[in-house]
Amino acid sequence: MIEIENLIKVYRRGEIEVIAIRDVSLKIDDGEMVMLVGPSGSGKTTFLHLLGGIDRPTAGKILVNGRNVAMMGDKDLTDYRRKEVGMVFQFFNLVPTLNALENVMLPMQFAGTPKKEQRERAMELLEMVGMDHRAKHYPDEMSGGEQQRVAIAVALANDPGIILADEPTGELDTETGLKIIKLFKRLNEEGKTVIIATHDMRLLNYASRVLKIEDGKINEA
Amino acid sequence: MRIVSKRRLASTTIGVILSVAIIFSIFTLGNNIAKADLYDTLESSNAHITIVADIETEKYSEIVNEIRGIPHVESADCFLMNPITINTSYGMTIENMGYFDKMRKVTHLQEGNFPEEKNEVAISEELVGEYGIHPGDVIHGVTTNETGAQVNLTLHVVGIFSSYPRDSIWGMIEILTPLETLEFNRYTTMYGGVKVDVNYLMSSPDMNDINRKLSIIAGEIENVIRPYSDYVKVSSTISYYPNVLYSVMFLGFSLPIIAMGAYLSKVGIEIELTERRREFGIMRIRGASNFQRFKLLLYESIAYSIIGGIGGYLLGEAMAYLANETIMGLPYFAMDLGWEYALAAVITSLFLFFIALYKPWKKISSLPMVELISHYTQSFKSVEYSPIKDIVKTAFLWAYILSGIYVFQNVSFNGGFNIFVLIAVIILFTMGFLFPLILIFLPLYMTRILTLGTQRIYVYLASALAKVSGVAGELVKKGVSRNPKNIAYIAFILAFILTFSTFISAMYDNTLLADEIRDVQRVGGDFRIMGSSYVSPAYFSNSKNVSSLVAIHEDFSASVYNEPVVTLYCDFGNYTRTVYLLDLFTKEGSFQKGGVVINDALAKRYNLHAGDNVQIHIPGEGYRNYRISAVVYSFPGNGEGESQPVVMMDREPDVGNVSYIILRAKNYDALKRELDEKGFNYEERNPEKKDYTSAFLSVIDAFMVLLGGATILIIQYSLYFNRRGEIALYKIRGATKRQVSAILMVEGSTVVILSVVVGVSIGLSLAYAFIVMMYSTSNLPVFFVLGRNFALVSAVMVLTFLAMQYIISAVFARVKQSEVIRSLGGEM
Repeated sequence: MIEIENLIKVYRRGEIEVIAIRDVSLKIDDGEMVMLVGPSGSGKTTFLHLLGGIDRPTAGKILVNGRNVAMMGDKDLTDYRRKEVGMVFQFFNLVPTLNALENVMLPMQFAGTPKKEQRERAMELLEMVGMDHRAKHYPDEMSGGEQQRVAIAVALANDPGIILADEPTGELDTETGLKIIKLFKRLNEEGKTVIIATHDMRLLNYASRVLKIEDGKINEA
Repeated sequence: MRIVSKRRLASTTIGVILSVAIIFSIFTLGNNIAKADLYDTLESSNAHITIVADIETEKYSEIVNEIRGIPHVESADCFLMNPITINTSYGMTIENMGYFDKMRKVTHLQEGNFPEEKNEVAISEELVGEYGIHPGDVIHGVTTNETGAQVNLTLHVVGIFSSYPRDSIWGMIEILTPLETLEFNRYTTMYGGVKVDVNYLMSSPDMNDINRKLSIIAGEIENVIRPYSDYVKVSSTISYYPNVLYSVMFLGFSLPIIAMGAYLSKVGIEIELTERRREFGIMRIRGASNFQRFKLLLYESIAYSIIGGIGGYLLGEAMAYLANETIMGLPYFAMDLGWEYALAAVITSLFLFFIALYKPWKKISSLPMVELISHYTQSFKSVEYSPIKDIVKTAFLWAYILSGIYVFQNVSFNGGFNIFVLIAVIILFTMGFLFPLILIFLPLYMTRILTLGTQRIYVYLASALAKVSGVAGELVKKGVSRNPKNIAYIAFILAFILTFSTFISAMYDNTLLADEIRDVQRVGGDFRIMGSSYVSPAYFSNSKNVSSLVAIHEDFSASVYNEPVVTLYCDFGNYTRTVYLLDLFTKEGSFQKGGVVINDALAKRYNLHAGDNVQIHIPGEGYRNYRISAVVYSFPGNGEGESQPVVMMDREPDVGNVSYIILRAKNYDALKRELDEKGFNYEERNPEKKDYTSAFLSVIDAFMVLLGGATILIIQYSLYFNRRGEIALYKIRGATKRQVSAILMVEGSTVVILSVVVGVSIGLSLAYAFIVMMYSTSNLPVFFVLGRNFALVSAVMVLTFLAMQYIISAVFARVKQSEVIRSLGGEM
């Protein structure tokens, strides 16, 4: 379960302070599929980064399974990113010099998983996202949809309970976008908590819950 | 618009700053070494001003005291001298009879007393040897007075002296006598040497002042003598001409590093322009002409050059000062400070900057507009490179080096003209211009092949290092393919630095060894005493400072197969105990009691080997066959060159028939002092040498360390700066700071190791080739060692480069994933 209490994030750009997240409190239960919608600059990405342990809040609590991510030290935060969350980005963010298989193996290498196990699990994940036939291909040899499927496999590498996706269909055509969102739905049905930030209103049909974000304030839609 | 950003300033100007710094530092050090050289000359000289004057004999003391009283005169050694013809049992001889007020202080009495009464004399040991005169003898002499009238003198010999120090100007006096003896002549010729206070001479920063100061003091001396003399000649023995040799020589050594500094700037500019190509593309789309775009760059370049010039100049002077304080320790040191130097530095910087700017600007100007504004990563990594040309050039240069080594190992310049001699001559003629090409281009070609051509070796090495470090092997293996061009830049500059540093340090180690071997070859032991009637092995046997000795008689009357040979007679047991490094000089066999040893020149001429018999004719003994117990390249202690045939026989020379004695000291300094005090004529193994080469090479090495460190920081900084998104992603995927740092460290270390292998192999091969060439004209085998300097310099270089890589890796491992992913999300 994710519990957020009085979450605030303020950026300082030179002399100017920008409030990206404004006193947000909410709960997300395990197994939910949440869509976060809002215009550009409303704070969607910031919210996901805070949840993903990529950024630290200015104030407030982010309790994930009872542990406050906001108060974690560097070591615990790295461990949290490794095991508890998987991030999927709009621009896929695959390492260009590694092939699909190696990209999926990478988070497991950081976690110290034995090499044989890394390879077996990476192949299973690629098979799951339908990319096992492209395991030896490099990112620049794959289409956007294929890259995003590999990126989802990367996010699942260490079997996290939470998947955070930032505009995962933003770079894809409609058909491919729908395929990707169905993949997320499947993961959600298998028990993962999925939180997706998106502009694409067509995806809302797949959500179990929709949150609306505007000027850093989050409300139920 | 910001004309100068801190990052651009650093990445593009550090190379120029270093180049300018090296130029000015070398210039200042060169000037100061020339000054130190002059200081040594002045300090070691017995006289800076010489005097020859016919003075009133009785005014001698008055004149000398007045000269000694002249300000800044440190000492004045003036003596009166009158030639006299003396009658000896061997016939008439003309000798110099003189008076010197310091005779008791500066000459060593071998026997008897110093003369005190009129017509008493002490004579030099040389006169004793030549004419058999001894204390108690009376000698009769004839000379002339001031009017030219003949004067007969009866002189009583009361002592025998040896001159001390051996090379002093009063060494020409053979007969010492009190002033009263010379008063038969109203005017006597006075000779003198005046030494001026060296600190006073060197005090001015204007080195030409030294001549002026010496002239003034010479004038004052002349003014003192003139009233008592009708003939005076006072002249300065030292004329100072600014010695630019050191500056030119040092600049020659530094040129490759200066060029590499400019190259580093070129690399910095190229990286900078590649990163800014979208900016230039947008300017073109908005209608900026080529000149308008260049103008922007020009303003920036001028700003960079001024900063680079002034910064480099100040850094150079500071480094020269530091180098002197920490390494050189020159007795006088002055920095070259002044606006004209600063201006010269800015002009130099502008010049270097525009050379560095030319190629990158030309390249960016010729790129199509679409490519300029396209996404950064799409074309940055693509490198058009065909390794064939580099492989051919590398093969040619290696073939040149290796054939040089082979040919010079086997060539004999005394054996007539053959193919080896022809190739050796071709290599000698071409080495002058091929050497700098090898130094710079061989590392370039090899590192290009290993980074842009095949990446297999890099991958193997990176995998091995990744395994040892426990980091993500797949990631580091591909480090080179991420940005091969930048990796190639780093690899080349580091490989060049290591080639150059290995070459000069290995050359220095081996030149020191060659000097040591030459000293042993020349002297044999610690000292070689030249023969005279006073040289007796028995004397040295009793000295507490001597550990062993061998007396050698050199004879030129024997012949081998009717060909004259030099024959050395000595006790082999004494010889082998006394001379150094005998094994190095022995080609075959050993020094056996009663045997005969020949040198290689004789062995080659008659194809003789240890164990063979050789027929030697010795006058008085006739022809006899002797068994050769050993063949040596050269006999230690028998001088430097031995191209003529030499035979050494195991026979103790007769007393009184000793050509020279080789001594091995128990205490080198004490024995040297003893020999000096006794006035022996000797050669020593460790003559005092003022050697600034080692200090200068240390300075050059320090510059190379700086250049290598700067290379890693600048190029890796640019590389990692553009990889921040990727680094952030690793962290998002669960990598710790340590893991990220280790990945970057392994990637960087792989390049460093690759460069070390390339640089050290080229540097050592070049040094070996030079050493083989050097020995090919000597009569010794090739001695090549990897000495202290090589080990130290290489270790310092590699550790510094790894330390720089560690620092830059640690810095980029701290990248904040939130900021980078947000701003560079699309640039993975």
